[in-house]
Amino acid sequence: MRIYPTDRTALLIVDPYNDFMTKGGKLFEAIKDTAESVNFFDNLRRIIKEVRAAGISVLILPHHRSHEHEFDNWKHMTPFQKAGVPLKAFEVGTWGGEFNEEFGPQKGDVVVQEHWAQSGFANTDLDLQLRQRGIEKIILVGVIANSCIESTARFGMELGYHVTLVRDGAAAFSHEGMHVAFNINGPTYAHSILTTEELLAKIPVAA
Amino acid sequence: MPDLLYPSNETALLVMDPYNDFLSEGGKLYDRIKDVAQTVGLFDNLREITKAARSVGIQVFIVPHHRSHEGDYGNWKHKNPTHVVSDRLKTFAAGTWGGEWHPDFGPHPGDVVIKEHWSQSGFANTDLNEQLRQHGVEKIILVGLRANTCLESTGRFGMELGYHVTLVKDATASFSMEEMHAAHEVNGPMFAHEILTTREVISNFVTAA
Repeated sequence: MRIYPTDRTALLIVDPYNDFMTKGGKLFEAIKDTAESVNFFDNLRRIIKEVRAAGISVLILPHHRSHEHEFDNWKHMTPFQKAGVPLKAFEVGTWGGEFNEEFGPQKGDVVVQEHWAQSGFANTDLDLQLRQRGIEKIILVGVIANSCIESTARFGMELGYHVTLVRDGAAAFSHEGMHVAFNINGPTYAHSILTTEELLAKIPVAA
Repeated sequence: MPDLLYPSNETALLVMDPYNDFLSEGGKLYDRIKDVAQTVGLFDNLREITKAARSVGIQVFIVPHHRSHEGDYGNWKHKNPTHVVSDRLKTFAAGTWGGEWHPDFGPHPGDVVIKEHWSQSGFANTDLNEQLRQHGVEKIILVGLRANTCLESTGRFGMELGYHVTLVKDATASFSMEEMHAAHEVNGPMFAHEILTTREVISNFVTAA
């Protein structure tokens, strides 16, 4: 069943920065194991190619790019945010904070505002951008499966979107993180959890 | 634990989904949470933490899940699997014992009862954020059911909204210890500000001058 109508479906690519997705990036090694184990990069290539060919909207959901003084005077930074500060991940004005060539935006894609923490919906224009385009179904790919993707998906479900996770179209910092995202928590809120193969069988064929 | 105090004037205890269906013997979901609840000492810890919070003047908010009604999801476009199951089981059904508060853990006079959430997050489609801001709350402590669904989503939403978020790993339960592990060891450390025991939380309660 081709259940993803082109005019009501969007592919959301979460955090496709060099720091995550390109060899030499600051977090590339941290996701490499899970990425290799599910063939993440090849799957992402296939999904993006077929989705674009079918005419489905692509939105890029970028994480906050680090810069000096960004958290000055913040009352409640999380330990995870504090620990990340010295790393300067996705730093503004550096190669690591640029999009990966293959997985970043192409002409016609929508680049959503940067999210500060995990959810692509929180403090950004994502909901507005989706609603203006009449999108009802969101397909999430990218990183990290149990943080940014999971929060974006949980928020999306609460907002009334049909949410699809792709178990081999994401990566995480550990295999346990993948297991939690797709086998423990995903089934409690997501509408569909598919493999790349299963997803592509449901995407409309390009006219 | 530097910097870890819960002043009564800026802290809230959020008690999630304290229905008979979850917490009372004979409730529709009681058998699903019973083992985990016993393992972590949920009932005793919930008693202690709610009592301690009220005694120092920390505001208690009851954060209730949607109570089932006939035809709830009739024309919904995108029901998720949990909506489908809730609709079938009629969990926390309005007008039934299962949808009433557990006698020990429901609201006391002076507590704030938040509007019902439809899915997981206590913030989504409710007045929780408004109520917390109006009460001057900075720090939210999450207890009740269920660790990796409603509590985790509420914690994730709360962090994005700028609240200081505390998970209490022995004042909650879920359907398996694997879910508890996912909530407190795998996912929690990426969004929560503190993940503590009931005893640790209570020892940091302070009445604001």
